[in-house]
Amino acid sequence: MAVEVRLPVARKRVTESGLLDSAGHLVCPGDTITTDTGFMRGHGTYLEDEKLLASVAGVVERVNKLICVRALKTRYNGEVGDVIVGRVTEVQQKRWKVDTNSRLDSVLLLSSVNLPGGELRRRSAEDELAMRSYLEEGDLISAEVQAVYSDGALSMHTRSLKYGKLGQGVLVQVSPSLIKRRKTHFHNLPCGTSIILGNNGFIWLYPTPEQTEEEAGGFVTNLEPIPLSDREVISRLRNCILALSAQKMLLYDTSILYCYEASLAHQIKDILKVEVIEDIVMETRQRLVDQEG
Amino acid sequence: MTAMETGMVSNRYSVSRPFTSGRESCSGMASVQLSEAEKVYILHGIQDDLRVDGRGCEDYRCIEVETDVVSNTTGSARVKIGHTDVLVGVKAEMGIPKLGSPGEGYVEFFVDCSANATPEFEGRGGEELGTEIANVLYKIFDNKSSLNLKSLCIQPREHCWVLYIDVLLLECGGNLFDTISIAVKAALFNARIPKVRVLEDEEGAKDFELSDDPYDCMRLNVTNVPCIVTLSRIGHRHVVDATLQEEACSLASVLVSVTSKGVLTCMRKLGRGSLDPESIFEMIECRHKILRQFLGAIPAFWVQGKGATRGETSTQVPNFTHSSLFKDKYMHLHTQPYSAVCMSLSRESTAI
Repeated sequence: MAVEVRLPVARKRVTESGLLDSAGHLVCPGDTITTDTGFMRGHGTYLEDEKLLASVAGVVERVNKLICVRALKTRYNGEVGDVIVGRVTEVQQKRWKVDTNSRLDSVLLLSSVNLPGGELRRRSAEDELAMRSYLEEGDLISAEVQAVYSDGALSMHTRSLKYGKLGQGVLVQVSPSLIKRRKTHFHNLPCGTSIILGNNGFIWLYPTPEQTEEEAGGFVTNLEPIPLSDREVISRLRNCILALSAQKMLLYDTSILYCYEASLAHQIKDILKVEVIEDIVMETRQRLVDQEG
Repeated sequence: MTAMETGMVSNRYSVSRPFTSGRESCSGMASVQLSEAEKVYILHGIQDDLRVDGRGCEDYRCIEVETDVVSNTTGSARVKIGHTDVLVGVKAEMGIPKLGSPGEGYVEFFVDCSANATPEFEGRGGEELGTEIANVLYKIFDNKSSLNLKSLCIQPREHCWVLYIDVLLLECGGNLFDTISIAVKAALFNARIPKVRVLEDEEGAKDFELSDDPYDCMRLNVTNVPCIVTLSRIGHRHVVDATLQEEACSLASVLVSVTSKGVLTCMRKLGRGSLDPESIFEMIECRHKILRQFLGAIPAFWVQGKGATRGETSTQVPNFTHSSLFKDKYMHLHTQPYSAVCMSLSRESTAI
């Protein structure tokens, strides 16, 4: 039992001088990107007095003649093939509406899920009626982006055994720009926990399942109590991810694992204190630099 | 027969879906949707005394207090607990004392729910919640001991100070009531009410003179201003400082307002679930421990405040925790006997 009262403190960024240069060209809204008129105006930029200015805070990216600014704090802009974690907000005719932290609700069509039984068939009217028994409002799913519509809305699919409804675990929400794009976004961490790093900034932490029996198509969730040791690891990882995101560190399996190891010296609930965050993120950053160099 | 049937149906419903809660009394409260499995995870975690963020059942999140944040108020404070962010301003204006209490000033509360906190508050969406919070605040201040209203009187029957306390919700991340009560207390502490001299000429006409010196002011004694402790019942245990996710799992919570001396000034039940008397006893007992923790934490805050860079804030901090606050580390008897409280509470819950 503890109560702690403090004064607010300005956030310090744990940076090392060498790292900033490699981070690329960072701009604030209104900063001049270039005065050269030979470039094309992309997302996050605008033209004024023949100068190209940034309209968001982020990193400048150039593809040939096109200049874009990728915002640091943003909603999720979907791309085909991304792994995402989302929450069902509505059950409609032949589709579920899913909140994926993007500007518009995404859709999961009934025809793009694996139904229990596993056989491939046309979806009948009965399937449509039973939609709420598969996924209902509030349920979390992991899925892959199948298509991006012209207005930016996403269509997803769960036609693989690794996707589907999520069971017991913890959801952590961070900015989508902090998720590092990797070959795989599903990891079984050596500390006994699995993690799904959704490209949309939703991270799902859950105890590593022992046996994957996929008879029900992944729609049946296990509601057995999870042992305390697993819970401790999950809570610690959750706080580590929040610590890393507070310091704007890229999130991927290695950085999370290093941060987890750095945090072991502290109590779980203390990890979110400002001084502890600085401490463990510094250590994580150092190990990552050592590993690269 | 039909009554029995409906009773059975509703009962079965509640068994199969144990968490379809929704806070009836706070329908406007910002809420989150959770899946059944997530709720089960949170529930089992609380049974094991390990919450999702690593806290135990009786741990508060870190509380950040900042005073004197709005320059055109008499006193102001901003308090953050986790994602909950509250700004409180106190404005003193001259008014006429109420007929019932001619020798006292009075306090007015207004709660504004900013649509920045959650889109649900847009337009008139936050009004219901705002009124509810304001009513709770009126209730906890509705006794002689919390604030010395006599000191707000300038001239009996004619002039007094009216304190307009405006609360602005900037962000909702659970545990609104506790945060607001801490912010109100800090803002009241911060308030500097100018001293007024009444000049009377030969014909009996009165004139007021306000001193120009900003340091020639009156400070309020906030020692007995109560703080709210909300205890949410989740499963077979109760937690303090519930996050939004935990509030979504809680069927009922008890809100207790206590002064530094352990005097209980107000008690309310939130949510539509019912509580049995035993668990209420347990929860009231828990508040003692929490209060002791609060008192323990505040001196630590004071020491920290000394080293802080914000000159103005840090000098104020020691006074915010009025020295006499620490004298009574151990609780006194309650003004209201336990049994009376429980009676009124159980009546409320059975009525629902």
